Amino acid sequence: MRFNFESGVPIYLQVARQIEDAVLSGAFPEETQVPSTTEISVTYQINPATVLKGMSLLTDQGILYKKRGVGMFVARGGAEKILHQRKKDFYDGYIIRLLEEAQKLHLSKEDVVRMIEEGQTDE
Amino acid sequence: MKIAKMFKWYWQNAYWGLVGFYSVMAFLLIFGFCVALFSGSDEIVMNNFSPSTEITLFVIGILLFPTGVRFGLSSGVSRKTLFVALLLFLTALSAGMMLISSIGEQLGEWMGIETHQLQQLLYPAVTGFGGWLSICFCRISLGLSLGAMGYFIGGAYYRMNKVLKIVVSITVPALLFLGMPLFFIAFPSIAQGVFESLISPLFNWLLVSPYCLSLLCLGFAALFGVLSWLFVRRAPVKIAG
Amino acid sequence: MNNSIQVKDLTVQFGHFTALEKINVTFGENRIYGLLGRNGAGKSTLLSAVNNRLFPNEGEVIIDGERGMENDNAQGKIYYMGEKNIYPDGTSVKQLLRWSRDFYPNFNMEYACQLAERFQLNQKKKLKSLSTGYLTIAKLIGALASGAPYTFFDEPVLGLDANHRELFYQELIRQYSEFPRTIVISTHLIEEVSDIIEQVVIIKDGRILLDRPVEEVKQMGYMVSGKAADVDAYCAGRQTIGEDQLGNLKRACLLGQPEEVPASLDISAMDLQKLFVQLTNA
Repeated sequence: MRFNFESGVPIYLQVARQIEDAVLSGAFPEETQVPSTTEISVTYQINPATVLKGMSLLTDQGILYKKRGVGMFVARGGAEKILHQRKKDFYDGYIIRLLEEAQKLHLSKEDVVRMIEEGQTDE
Repeated sequence: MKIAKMFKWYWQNAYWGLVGFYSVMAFLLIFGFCVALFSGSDEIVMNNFSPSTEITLFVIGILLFPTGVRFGLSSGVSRKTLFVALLLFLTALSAGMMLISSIGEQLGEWMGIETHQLQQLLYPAVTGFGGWLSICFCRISLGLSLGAMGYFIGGAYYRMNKVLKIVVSITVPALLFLGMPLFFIAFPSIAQGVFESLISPLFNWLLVSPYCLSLLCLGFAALFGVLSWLFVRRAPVKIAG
Repeated sequence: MNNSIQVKDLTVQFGHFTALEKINVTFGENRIYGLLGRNGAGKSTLLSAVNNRLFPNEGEVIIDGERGMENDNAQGKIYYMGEKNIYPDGTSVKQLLRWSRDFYPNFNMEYACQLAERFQLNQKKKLKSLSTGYLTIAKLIGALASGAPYTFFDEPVLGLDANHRELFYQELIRQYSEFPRTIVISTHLIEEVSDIIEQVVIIKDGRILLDRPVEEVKQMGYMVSGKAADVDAYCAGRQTIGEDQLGNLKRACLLGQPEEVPASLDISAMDLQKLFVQLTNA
């Protein structure tokens, strides 16, 4: 996990994002325990309330769930949910804006598709 | 609860001073004993038990003010509590030191050292258990008054700023050791008047019984106690230097 | 039961100098506060007055609903790790810890010893012989292990190296997570504590300048960077609180929210240190 304290994104959102990334990458598989609030806050020197806020965000979305007296676990289908949400964010955040910008530059749909294909082969 | 803990703090701070003091006293006793043994003289006199005990109490009193206020206040102890603990400590210490002094004097007597001379000089008529009791009481009050006076002086120095400290350090001894004698030399009639009308009757009254001296000492202890409280009442934590 | 420290209209004067003027502030239950201010702003004076170490001229301090001044019970809840050494010469680290244990019923000696080991502090050493950093560490250990519901840290990283700082902050958070309590950290290193504290209290010339959640403070401003001419054009007519330039590249701190920022400029979060310096400048 890595936190960028300089960026404008509030720390609790960064905490949530980092846990999501770990779930997506398989570092935290489904039905396994994630590090406790204390562990995260001690390791990264962040106020426990901030970490808790980030984790609650994920519990509310059904990505994590709480086992009483044990800790927080990755929910079954948690990774799927994140993937779904991220795809939606990708569409809203990138595709829509991409098309808006393309329109400004008078690029046709074919131009955009061609550019995407070029971008992929370049890699 | 906190009174007991402050008591412990005072004790801890007086501890090494007391160890030093009694080491010296023990050394003097043994030294006197050896001299008495080898010279065969029965004229060895050691009168300093009582006065030196009081001086020690005076010094301890001075030292306990700053350390008690600094540490006590910083440890969540109120001024009231640390002051009450101090009064209890000084009383206990005075009683304890009186006891040790008595034992020391008795030891001295057995070793062939004259240790009761001062007392016999002041109160020749005092004898028996009742007499011993009155002497004990007298010594405790004497110690207490000296301790309270020391605490008062420690408090005065703690509360004064640097300039005031220097001024007082110079003027008070100057007045006491130079001004007063000079005044009495310059005006011998006043000196005589004071002596005849105040000091002489006071001493005569004090010599009536050890209880009279106790009463005077307790009066002084109370006076310095009240004055010290004025210094403690609003004292801040202040670190020297 | 109201578990908090409430400071009401507190005024402290030293002779003619007013160190604190009608201060009103609350330290709520189980929260971490950053008490910030320049040297001589009144941080230590405020904590000292709350802890009954000095007598205020006016106002009062309420601790858990009780009067705080001259109150053994209320003051027993506060452990104040001050910047000054209150112990006589010749006091050892071990003695300091023992005295803390005597006066604070929840003091954890076992934990204190563990900490001493982790900080590599020899308990037999006399306080007088310790370096600035190790003297700080000795006092930090006392405070971390105190178990007091209100723990005040005054310049807690004074003289500490990077490793020890990290160790301290980690232990602070661990203790706080396991045994929640109210913590006040008095410092001028705002960046270092900005992710640990919840509430920022800035004090200036004996008055409270700002008392807000840290997240809100971060939103008080932002930074833009880019070509000097572009930055200048954007800043014109906006409240700028500082800028720095490197060749043709310029960075400016502005108050408020970013609005209609041209694409040629980068926006980033407020530099708290800059904000702090700006707010506390004369």
